[in-house]
Amino acid sequence: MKVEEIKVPLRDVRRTVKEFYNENEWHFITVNAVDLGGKVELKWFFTRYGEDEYFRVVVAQASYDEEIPTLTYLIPSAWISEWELADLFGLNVEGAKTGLFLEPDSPRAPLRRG
Amino acid sequence: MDFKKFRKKSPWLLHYNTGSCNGCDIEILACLAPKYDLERFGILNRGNPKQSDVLIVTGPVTKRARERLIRLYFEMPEPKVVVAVGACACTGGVFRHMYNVLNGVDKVIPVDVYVPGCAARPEAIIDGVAKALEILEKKKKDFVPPKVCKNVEVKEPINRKFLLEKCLGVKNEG
Amino acid sequence: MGKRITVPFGSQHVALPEPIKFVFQTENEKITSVEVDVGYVHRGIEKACQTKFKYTQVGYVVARVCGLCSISHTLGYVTAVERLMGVEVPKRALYLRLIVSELDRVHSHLLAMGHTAEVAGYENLFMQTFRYRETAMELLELLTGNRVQYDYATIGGVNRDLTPDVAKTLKERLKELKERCLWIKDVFENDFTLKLRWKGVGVVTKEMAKRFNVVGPPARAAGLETDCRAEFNYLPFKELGFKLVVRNGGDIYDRNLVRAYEVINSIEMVENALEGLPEGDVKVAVKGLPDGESFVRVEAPRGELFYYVKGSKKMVLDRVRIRVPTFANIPVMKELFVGMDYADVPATVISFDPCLSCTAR
Repeated sequence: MKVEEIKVPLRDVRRTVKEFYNENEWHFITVNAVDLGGKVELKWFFTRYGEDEYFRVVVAQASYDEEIPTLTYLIPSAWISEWELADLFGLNVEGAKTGLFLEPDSPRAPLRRG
Repeated sequence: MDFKKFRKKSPWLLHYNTGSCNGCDIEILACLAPKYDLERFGILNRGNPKQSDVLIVTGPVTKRARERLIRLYFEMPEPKVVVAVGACACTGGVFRHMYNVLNGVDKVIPVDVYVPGCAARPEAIIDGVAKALEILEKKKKDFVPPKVCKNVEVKEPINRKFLLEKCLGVKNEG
Repeated sequence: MGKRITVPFGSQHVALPEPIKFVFQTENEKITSVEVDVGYVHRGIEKACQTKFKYTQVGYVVARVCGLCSISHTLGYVTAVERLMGVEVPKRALYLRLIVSELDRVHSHLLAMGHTAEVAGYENLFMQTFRYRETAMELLELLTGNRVQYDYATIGGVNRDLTPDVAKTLKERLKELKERCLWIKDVFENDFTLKLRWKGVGVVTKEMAKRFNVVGPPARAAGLETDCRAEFNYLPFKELGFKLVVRNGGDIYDRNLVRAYEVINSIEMVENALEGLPEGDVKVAVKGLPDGESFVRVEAPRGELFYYVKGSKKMVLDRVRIRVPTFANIPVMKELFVGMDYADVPATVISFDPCLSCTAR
């Protein structure tokens, strides 16, 4: 398995993705968050069509209140993963609505630790 | 016309998934298919609550599905029977105490027949539905049609959501 | 300017076995905008995998995410954990996993095809497809002991060995199944009525598929060559005769044909696996605790399934993230409906084979 990790500050995420992303070649998998207590680690997963076991991962860290830039300008299908982040982690994602999965009487931000 | 006779010969099913893993749903579909053939009892699967007699519920009832389940239940005409299919519909199963789950169908609406199994086998589902038909028969005998009341004067326009909230309130208190 | 009507589709609908809700704004039959609600079956499995269950148990919990592709979920998780802990899985176990995974694909694809036929108003074909699907279910029951939730794969191998008797019966009945599937393929390919109903309806073009990152049979029907069985070595597919099925139409007809050809290919792979089944153990003992992170892409019947697992030398994992195929296909569905006739909607939705239990988890 070949993994190429690119660590960037949060505000550079969109620029970094824009530099390499090309819809004929790259396949966007998903965006994932891991709670580190007080802040989250965000990972955007990409892979190439037709290449064996290859991942390119863009890594950034964000606090709970920081605004996370959306990638929907580059990748129109990214909205659903971003809304999920906003819903299940209670993060502030640009342009996301809450209520994709949770009901008014469900616990808030269930995937945070503690 | 005497509808009771036809009801006995051909009970109709309504199936609703309240958050199960799909396993029980495909087994219900398999029941209706040629090998097990639930249709030989005259049973048809039609997705219309207003014409159905048997409500088959799968899944542990998630918080968003709860309101729809109650609404479907109230839309069905009396007498009716409810069959809970699968381990998670009976008790919550593997999903018990997860944060968005209400641990079983009987926390929300009254259940007549429980069919256990993960996923419930088609034979068990057929057995459960056959039991449900017996119960339906019994319920029909005891059933007293409601007296026609005088027209109640409603001050505000009838609102489905309002009525539903009222019913939910009564249910939660009791 | 026509008359504007709002049409709700779901959450309870006769064409849908599962709750999904679309709200269509239509203008004289033509759809102008769509809203989608997928959260009816959200149970919170990811949270429970990180708090309630030990890492040895999680494999059986994630199988309950979805009953149709339960073995794919287990395989995804198990492969991820094995890579974390450096477990060498015996070859016989890998072959057995492949057999179950491909038979599961056969029954899932036949279900999807039958369902599309029913929605097109072809109840006869629906019944026939379901009758033939029962053969696959019986074989799975013979092999694993259960019809739907197999609980077959475990960390380090599989839970049940294949006895020579069962292998013999499997070989015999697979021939029968193959003949029937060839017949089904023939009907789906050549039937005049089905062609009339499905050709040119709900077209996903190749550009659209790339733009919206479509996965699974809808992507392959649009001509996009993506299949995790070819791109990720989690099981020995290549040595058992895996063929990539790609078509170029992108409509409902082609999506069904991709499924039909994949069914035939899967049966061939199972036959080859049974032919050359290696001897040896089916399970190795696992020591230690998972540490670090790993990601795995698995081809579920509906498309690419992505698992992210992170552990830190504890019995309970830090993070389990599941990205399921239908979740990736929802954006393109939403885009596709705009400008379509409302009458084509049920068939199009079912032809994507949506699995909502997966999507919401």
